[in-house]
Amino acid sequence: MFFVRRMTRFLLVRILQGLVTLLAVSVVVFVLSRLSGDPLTLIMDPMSTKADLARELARLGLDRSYPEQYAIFLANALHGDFGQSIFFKRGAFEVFLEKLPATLELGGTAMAVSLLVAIPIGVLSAVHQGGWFDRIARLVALTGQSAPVFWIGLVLILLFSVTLGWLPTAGRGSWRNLVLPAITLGWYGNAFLMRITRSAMLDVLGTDYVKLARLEGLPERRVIWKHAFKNAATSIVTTLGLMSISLVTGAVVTETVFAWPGVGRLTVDAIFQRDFPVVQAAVILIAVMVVAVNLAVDVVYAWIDPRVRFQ
Amino acid sequence: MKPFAGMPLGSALILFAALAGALLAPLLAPYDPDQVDVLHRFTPPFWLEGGSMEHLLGSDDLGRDILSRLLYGGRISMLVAVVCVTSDAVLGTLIGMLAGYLGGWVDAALMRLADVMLALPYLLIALVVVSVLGASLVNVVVIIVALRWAGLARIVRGETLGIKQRDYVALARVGGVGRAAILLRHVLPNVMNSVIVVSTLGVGTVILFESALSFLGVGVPPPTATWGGMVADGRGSIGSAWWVSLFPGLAITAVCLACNLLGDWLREVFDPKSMRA
Amino acid sequence: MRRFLLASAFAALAAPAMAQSLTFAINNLGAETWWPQDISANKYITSNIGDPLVRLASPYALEPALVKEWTSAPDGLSFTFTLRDDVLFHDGSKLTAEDVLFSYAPANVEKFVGFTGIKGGNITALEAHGNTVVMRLGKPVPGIRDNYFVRASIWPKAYVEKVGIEGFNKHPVGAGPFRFVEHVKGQYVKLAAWEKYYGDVPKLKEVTFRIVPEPATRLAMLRTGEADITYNEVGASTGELKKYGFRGQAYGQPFQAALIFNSLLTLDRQPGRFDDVRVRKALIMAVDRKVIADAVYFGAAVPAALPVVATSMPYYDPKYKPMATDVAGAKKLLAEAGHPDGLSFDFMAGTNNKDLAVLLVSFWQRAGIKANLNLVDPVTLSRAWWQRTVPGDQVMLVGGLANGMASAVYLNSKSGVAMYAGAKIDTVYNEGAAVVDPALQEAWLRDKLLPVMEAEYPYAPVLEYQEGVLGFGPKVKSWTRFDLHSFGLQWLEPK
Repeated sequence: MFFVRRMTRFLLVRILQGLVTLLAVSVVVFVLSRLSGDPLTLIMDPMSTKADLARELARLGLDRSYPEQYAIFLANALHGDFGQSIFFKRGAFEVFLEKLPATLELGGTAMAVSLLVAIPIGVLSAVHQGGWFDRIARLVALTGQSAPVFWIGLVLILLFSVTLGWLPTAGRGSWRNLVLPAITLGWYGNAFLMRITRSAMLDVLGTDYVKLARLEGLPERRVIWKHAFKNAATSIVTTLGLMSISLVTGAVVTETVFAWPGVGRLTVDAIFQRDFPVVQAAVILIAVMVVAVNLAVDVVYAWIDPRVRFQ
Repeated sequence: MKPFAGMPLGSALILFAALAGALLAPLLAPYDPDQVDVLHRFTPPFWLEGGSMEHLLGSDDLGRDILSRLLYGGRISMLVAVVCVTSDAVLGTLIGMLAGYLGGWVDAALMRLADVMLALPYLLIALVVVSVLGASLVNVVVIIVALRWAGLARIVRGETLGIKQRDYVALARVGGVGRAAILLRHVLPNVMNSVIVVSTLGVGTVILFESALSFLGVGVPPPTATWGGMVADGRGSIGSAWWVSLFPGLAITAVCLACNLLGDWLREVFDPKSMRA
Repeated sequence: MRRFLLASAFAALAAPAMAQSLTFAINNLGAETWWPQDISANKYITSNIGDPLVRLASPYALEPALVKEWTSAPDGLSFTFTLRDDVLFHDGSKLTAEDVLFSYAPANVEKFVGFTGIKGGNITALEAHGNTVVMRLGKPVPGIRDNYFVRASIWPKAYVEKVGIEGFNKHPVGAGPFRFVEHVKGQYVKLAAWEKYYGDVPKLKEVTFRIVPEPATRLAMLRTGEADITYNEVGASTGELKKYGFRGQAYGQPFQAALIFNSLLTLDRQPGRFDDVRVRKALIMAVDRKVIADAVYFGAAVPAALPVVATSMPYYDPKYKPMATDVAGAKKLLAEAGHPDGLSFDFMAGTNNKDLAVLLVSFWQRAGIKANLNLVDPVTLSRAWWQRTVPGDQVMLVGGLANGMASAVYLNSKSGVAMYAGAKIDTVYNEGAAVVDPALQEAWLRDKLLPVMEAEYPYAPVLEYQEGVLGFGPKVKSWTRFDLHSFGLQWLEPK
């Protein structure tokens, strides 16, 4: 009972903090998007006069004061209404949601690639610390975060699509279309995850707990995966929130290179077109997702590791 | 214990070479990096057919010498990286220490601010800001600094919280030592290890971040050469005149890898336990 | 699906050598909605599905499309269109005058994105007499033909009213050479040849427009055969096409890259160094534009001669040649204008014109002209230009149409995007705008406007090119005739 009450309290505090964060994000985004100049220069044609411009500004509500615009924006946003996209002439939220599945598909696959590749490498390179496997595996994993993402993407296209002809170049469709962008993006996340896994494992491997397990004569594989890794896993879980935001950043570039119709590319286009409603919707909704992931991570973490519970 | 045991020598050498190249660029570079020569564009490197000793690593789409741009570009790229990482180190350490040591509403406010920074898709925010302020060297640096301090501040705050509990800090406090002095003398030396590790790892991130901005067309503006900008500009001819993007791409990869390996090694040497989050 | 396979297998037997289906990798398709029609990016779909009354085809000539004939009154206040009687929309219904009245109805005219000249109730009457439609205007609109008639497709009234805007966006129906097949948002739009097209029935059976924002990726797709046609910006990628043995073909309306002078954009201007026409001309004389055009644009661009009217326009007077490169002459002109020690100014250009800007700066340097280059994203540049937000006598590198009367609007200081403001040029513009009879208009452009442009040189055109360059893969046999507004895919010959 006591536990449940503290858990509830903990959750409430975390949710409140998350909401404050999101409110601040909305202010930042609003201010930035309004500073970036009105979008009319893209819409209007050379024949239009100053009066035409003023009429359009009024129609889009851009002639009101900034605080007024923000109040309207926030009130609407709470109802899931981020305004009409100036470019698409449809709801910005709707436009964002349309593109979200593609990004989730790419990001999810990339995350899976990272987990499948980086965790074994991280574990094994901790076990063989300083050995040749450690050196080579780390070098390969770190390369993903050492070369520009767009460059890796284009080199992969040249190699696997143009030269070898194994995989399609761009676009979304079958699983074959997903391979190259997922590798590009996943490789980028690899380094991060591998490093966390490795250092967490190094810490755990040095503890008495593991030494004891070894002394008990348990098989080494069992010691590593069953005892050590299980303990290291908690620190890996805590980084998933951070990783999700770095995947968003990688996705912006990856989606452009591979013509992947996701929210990263959508937002970049919207920024260049000064399509405020879409930029606001995208950045705020991405922040919502990040805050949600962090919240989930906190809860899971508090659940599985009593030592840090409710700090 | 030997202080340099296990140090990745290759990485140190790469960094040393890159720094030397950048510092000595005016002496080493055969050409002015911005000098265009459209009649000699896309000259291949000297060992290929059509290449010549005049442009050792070839020339780009405007006939500028790749080697010279590589040397001068390294200057800008590494300057950006060093300035950003150092500023972030100062900012992150200061904010982290203050939040951790003072606690209370200061802590709450600063950490909420950090939450905001960590929840923002920073590449997109940078894009918005650059389209507002215009792309310039200073703007790019300011944006990177403003968006990156939060991670370090969090780590430093966590460590400060631990250090605060230690006996000698309590003793100093009782002995009437001022806050500033305690932070400077007792807390700062103890968080320095983490700061150094995070900063070393940050160098690569900043160089890559700048290259992503260049790819999206808002990096350090041309004609100023940066490695990221060179790769981004050369990508159009990546299949035919591959040397335009390959050499700066390799330079980025080598320097980032070196910083990553060096950072990992430093982490093992210092072994700061709180670094994982 | 099976039936489709059978059908295409059968078709393949009938014409074994003909490519049935091509993929067109394009940079973007705008908002990917087809209503309201947009002049910039969704036109590649809407103008293939829909046909206008009158078409602008290469080499720059107006041709009847949905009309048998059309006339305009000498005062430019009324137009009469006589419709063809053999036009079928893709839903099988027949084109009638009602459809034209519907498409040009005020509510739809107001929604047309991009051209305001015809909006705000300027269409005072729209009448149908049998298969003849008469449109009357309140005041004449220079450029209405090139900017509106050739761009606005005619849509089937009954169909649009039945399915609504939303239904139309899901499945647009028009009378153009291609009918809509499939659209996957953010990825591609598939069109098929309209077998009952009244004009040249497309030889291509099917075309898929695939959205690929990154130029390097589009080129890779051409190399793998995933794309048969690529859209390319005029510039470096043209050279890449040639390196891999692909053909490149310029298409679209004539454009000019030009220097405009910030201090000359408003009537209430402060005195500036570029008031002197000699300084404006010196900036062009100092540059070897032939070298830039050949080396960086691979012949897809040529030196420009005069503002507004490109040398490729049919009524251009060839006696006005582009100024030759003359560094000494440029220095001399500058000295005469009071700048014997050269000139130093701030130079703003868009990132899309990066290479050209860098080359201009380097050529100027050789003539003792120092330009401090400031590269900004294209929207920032147009904002600085349209709203005159930058201070001082900066120079800006901009791009714009150079297709005669339609782009003469840049000379009007009252329009949103003037490239020059001055009482004298305004007088010239107003005289020209009053000439609305097409034949007289062309004579006026050639005989009246060009001499003034040469003498006044209100802004400095640098290079001339067309809208873009198309890269062709091996499945394209030839494609030389274009609709200058969209593409005119019906004239593409597949292999």
